[in-house]
Amino acid sequence: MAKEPIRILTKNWDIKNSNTIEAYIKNGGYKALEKAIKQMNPEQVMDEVKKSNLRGRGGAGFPAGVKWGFVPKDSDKLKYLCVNADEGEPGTFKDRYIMTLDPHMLLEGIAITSYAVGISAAYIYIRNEYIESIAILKTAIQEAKAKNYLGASILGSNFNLEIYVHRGAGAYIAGEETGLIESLEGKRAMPRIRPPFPAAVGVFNCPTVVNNVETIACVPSIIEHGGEWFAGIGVSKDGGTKLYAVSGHVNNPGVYELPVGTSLQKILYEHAGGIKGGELKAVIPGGISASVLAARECDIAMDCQSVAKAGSMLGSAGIIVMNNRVCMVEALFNIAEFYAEESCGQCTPCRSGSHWIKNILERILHGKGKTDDLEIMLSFIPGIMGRTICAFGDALCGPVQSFITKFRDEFEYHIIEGKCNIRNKLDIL
Amino acid sequence: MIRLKINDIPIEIEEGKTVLEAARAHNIRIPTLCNQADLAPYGGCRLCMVEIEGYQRPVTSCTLPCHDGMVVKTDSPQLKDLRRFTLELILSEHPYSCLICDKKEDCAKFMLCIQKEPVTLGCKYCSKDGKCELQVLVEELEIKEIPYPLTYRGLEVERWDPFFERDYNLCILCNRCVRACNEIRHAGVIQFQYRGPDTVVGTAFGLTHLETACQFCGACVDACPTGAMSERYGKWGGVPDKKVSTSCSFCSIACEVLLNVRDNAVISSEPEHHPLCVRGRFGISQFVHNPKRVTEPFLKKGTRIVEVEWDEALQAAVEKLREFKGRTGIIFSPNLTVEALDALIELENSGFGILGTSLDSLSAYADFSLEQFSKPAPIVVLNTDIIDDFSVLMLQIRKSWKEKTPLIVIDSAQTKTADKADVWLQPKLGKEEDLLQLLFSESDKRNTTGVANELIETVKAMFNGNGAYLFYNPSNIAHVKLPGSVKAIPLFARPNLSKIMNMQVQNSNDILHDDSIDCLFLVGESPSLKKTYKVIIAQDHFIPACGYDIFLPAATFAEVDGSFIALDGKRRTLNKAIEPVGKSKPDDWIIKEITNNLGVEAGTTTRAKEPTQKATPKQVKPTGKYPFHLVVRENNYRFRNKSLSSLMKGFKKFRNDDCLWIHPADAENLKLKDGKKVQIISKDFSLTMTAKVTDSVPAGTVYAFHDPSAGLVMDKIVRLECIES
Amino acid sequence: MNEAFVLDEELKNRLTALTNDYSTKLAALLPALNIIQDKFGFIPPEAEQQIAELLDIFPTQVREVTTFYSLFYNAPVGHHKIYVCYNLSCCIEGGGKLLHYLAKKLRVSVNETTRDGKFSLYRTPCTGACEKAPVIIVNGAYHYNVTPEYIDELLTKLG
Repeated sequence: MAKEPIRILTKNWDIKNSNTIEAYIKNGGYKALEKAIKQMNPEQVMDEVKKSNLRGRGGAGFPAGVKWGFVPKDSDKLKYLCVNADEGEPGTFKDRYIMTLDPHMLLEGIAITSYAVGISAAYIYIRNEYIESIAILKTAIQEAKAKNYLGASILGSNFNLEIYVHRGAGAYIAGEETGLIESLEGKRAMPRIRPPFPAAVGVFNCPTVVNNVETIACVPSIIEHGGEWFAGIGVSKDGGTKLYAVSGHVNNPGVYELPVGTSLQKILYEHAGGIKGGELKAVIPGGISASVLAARECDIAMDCQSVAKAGSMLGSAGIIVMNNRVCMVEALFNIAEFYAEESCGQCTPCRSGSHWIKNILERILHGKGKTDDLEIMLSFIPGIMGRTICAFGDALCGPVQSFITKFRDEFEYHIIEGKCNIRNKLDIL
Repeated sequence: MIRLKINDIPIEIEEGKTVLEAARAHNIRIPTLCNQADLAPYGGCRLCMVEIEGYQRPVTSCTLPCHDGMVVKTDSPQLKDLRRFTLELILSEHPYSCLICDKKEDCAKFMLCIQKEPVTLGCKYCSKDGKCELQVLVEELEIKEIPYPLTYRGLEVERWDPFFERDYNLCILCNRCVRACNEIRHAGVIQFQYRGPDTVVGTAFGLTHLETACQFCGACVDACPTGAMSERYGKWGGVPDKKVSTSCSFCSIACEVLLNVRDNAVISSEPEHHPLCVRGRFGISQFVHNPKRVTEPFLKKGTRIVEVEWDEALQAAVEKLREFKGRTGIIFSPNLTVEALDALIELENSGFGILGTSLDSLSAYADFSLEQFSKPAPIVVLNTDIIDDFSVLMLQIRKSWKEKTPLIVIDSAQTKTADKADVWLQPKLGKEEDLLQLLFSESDKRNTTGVANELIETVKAMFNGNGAYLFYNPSNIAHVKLPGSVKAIPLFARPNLSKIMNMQVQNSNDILHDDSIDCLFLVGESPSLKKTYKVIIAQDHFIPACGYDIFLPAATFAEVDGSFIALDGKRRTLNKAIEPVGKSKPDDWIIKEITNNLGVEAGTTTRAKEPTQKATPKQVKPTGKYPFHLVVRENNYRFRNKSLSSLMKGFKKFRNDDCLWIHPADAENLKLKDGKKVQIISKDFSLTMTAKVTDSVPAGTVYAFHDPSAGLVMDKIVRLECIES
Repeated sequence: MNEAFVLDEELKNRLTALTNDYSTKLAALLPALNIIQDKFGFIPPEAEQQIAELLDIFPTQVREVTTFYSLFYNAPVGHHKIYVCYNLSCCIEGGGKLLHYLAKKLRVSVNETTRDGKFSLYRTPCTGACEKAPVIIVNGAYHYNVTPEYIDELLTKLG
């Protein structure tokens, strides 16, 4: 017998007008903020979050409470929160759901986070295309301000908070936390050199917390039910539920809220309705920057550590499913093209490397591949992986290495025969 | 102090320094392309990776602060592989065939190329050959082949600007030029554009540098590790034999400059410790080796001008001075060395002539030092184009200030500085002093300056009781009464002022109006003459506009040892970089030879007249006959008897001195088109200039640069007449 | 300066008001450019100049930003902007084919505008709606599970 599914982030999604403050409050919204402000001091709030084992949901999976703890307490500078709603990782679409269906959960999370860290201004950096979410968030902020959940002297306390919605302009790298900060400051989104980390020197040279939308949206439930409750849901060192965004060749693509550590098989077959249009060939488990998993590797639990053990990463948990009619050379070329277009151009290995990987794949696709092309591409890996300012280089290397090593025969066939060996191939480019 | 070990060498370094800086301080080489000591770390080229004990991955040493007990390794086979990989990628964006050619040694020796590299791709056709940082790295990392084909971007070579040109096909995107432009110069002219592999360096909207606020300081050219940015003049000068440190003499700031010398020629100049401006960076080599320069003595014999030996020229000069004893005016340029000025005093003491120079308002002279500007305060600039003329001074003052203070410009014309100012106050002509009174003291005088009261209040609020620095042009304003909180600094374009003040010399105008003078001895100066002289002896680098009977070729400041006194009152040293060009001789040598040959024992002083204090010229109102007010602006782009724009094409493009600025409305009334010749007529002179139609000057007023040889010395009322072309 | 792109007082005030949300004026650059692009469809250089003046920054600081972000345009674009999502999820569901279909139908290549100035065709890396692939965005509005037939209808509707 199946347990009643735990719903934390999606609990209000089915309600009518779920994005209004009335609906949110009716379902217990802003109770956690009230609890935090009236019954807890900032340290207690932070401790609860630390206890919850909440990990960043944006991709890196860094424990959120620990990140907040890095913000210096004795600094006399203003502190800022940047909510990363850039959601640029291909295959990821969970944050859009949160922002359009339950914006107040995000705002409440922002308010509690800001209270815990001592922040008085928060920016939601949202990608350019999410016009709908921007409008909804702006309305929600006005609603919350009218009810004194935001603004000056929140709920009669001396805690003030302003939330601003900042619209991006089309740059994947603005989703990287220091790239986001640069972009917010009105510059090219070129990631910064660390140290110093944003917690010490972030936006406008002030201590800054950067968190993903989903991460922040988890905070109200943690405060409401306690950190231990949240930690109990997931696996060890990785608490709570997770929004798994499934797309590609499944019968029911969509966002599924499941406890962290739910098995990939279960997600694909029980929730997403199984594979569509053929047999399972490969899964990218965490947005395209995660290494691809071949069908035989898909029996894993979907939490940060398990996926890492399988040689990939949970990342943003944007699961892309491919059936056996997809040509892996084409798929990798699509990914490589993306990286060549989105590299900011600062570091040589990434700028030049992404360009060459794309070019080499292009010639393989056109039947002009050379026998050492695979070796050349693989030789890029040690020179790029971990050798760049931000994780973009790693993100580029993961797919290249995994696609080539796991589906080498396909690549070799392309090079030797100059054509694809897949029957009923889907034209994806 | 932090103690760490680099390659097993114990090192001590102050806190906050990076590993790369620590290594550099101890002469441990770590290859890098994007790092430059005076720029913020960029971390882009990824060549300076080092291994740190306890770290999983290599890290870039340019971005890593030193920690106590750190153990650093700057070289290992793994690091070398990594660097090689990175450099190969960098080279795949830069023409590399010559860099890795196994015949490159022979090529250099015999100019032999069996591969027939196209001109655009070959190192031998690049002006950076031998100075290119990529060449050094290819040798160091022993790169023999590159597994990628070359991506040549096919960008148009930008050759349309003066002083330097840009071939971004050679650019490796190290970002040094961009940081130099923005961090050192705060000019904001170039930036990265586009992204990823498409990134290029460029100006806003694809404007030429001339159309931007570019000051042509050359900081970007100096920063470039490749041949992407190169100096127009002297780019083919090759690798210098030596670098000589001396002082730039073009203006009164007197920056330290390094002269690159090869085969007794100055091939280029570069900044030594502080940034240079366009004059020091691009002007010196072109000035010293200018095709118009005359380096042999000449003598007028009858109607012919004949080249002669020094003996004959000196003999002729001495004879003439003897002949016109007491009737000789010696007009000298303040741009001489102290030694030459001393020699002139000696010559005057011999009683053969009276000394004069074209400096006014010496009474305003005051020493100042950079320490004076330790406290940040708003900067007020009065009637001087400080950004064009004294850019280095402005940079040095503001460099130590953490906060950016407002820049307020008071000027009737919209200068480049006015463009960049936070507030530009445009008073009516002649109302500048009134405006200062209104700004700085509680004056109940009625505001007739033409500047809105609200604007004055805004500026007053900026001072906020903290005082201000006032930089003003001493030749326009004689007396400014100011409260103590305002430090007033007159900006003299010419050096040696404290020296000349003690010399008690005449104003050259008085000499020129003196009918008893029949002989002129012009040392580096070329005045506009009011009468014909029996003899003119000219001692200079270039033939003076007023003509001569005896020409004595002087050596330039790059060719002499000596000194002069800068704006801050301190002495600057000149070090001889090359032997005097041709037969030219140092100024002081020439004057001493003459004095010695005159054969009069020193001490028999017959000083002619006490210098007269000149009153501020009264503002003359334009009349029906002379409807325009001609404003003469100080020209800091003049050296001795020539304006730089008359000698060098680049300066003519960047800042043409030979033009009359006129408002479009006035131009239209006169049917005068931009770039056409116009005649300027006043009561006592007439002159032809090129019109520059611009709305940056007020109507009814025309502006020209100070030019004694054309008679443009002080403000006048004039009439303008179109010249049909 | 092209008169059409002179920012009126109201717009200037709106742009200046943006700076209140940030502790530096420069930070208002992206929002300001977004407003300009919403108004003109692209960012004319004249507007870049004026924004530079309003925000007290160098024109290069505006230009480096407008060229960096892929959704800013420095040249006029079509009346209708069509973005075809080209991420892996959309492509394996036919996004690539849609792009070719549109290109053929509109007789333009990617990043081009039709001759009559009606349509501009772009491909965009992930629109964040992978569950309803393939996705196109037309004038800011998302269209999900798009088929060639749907495109035919849509183009007729847009005229």
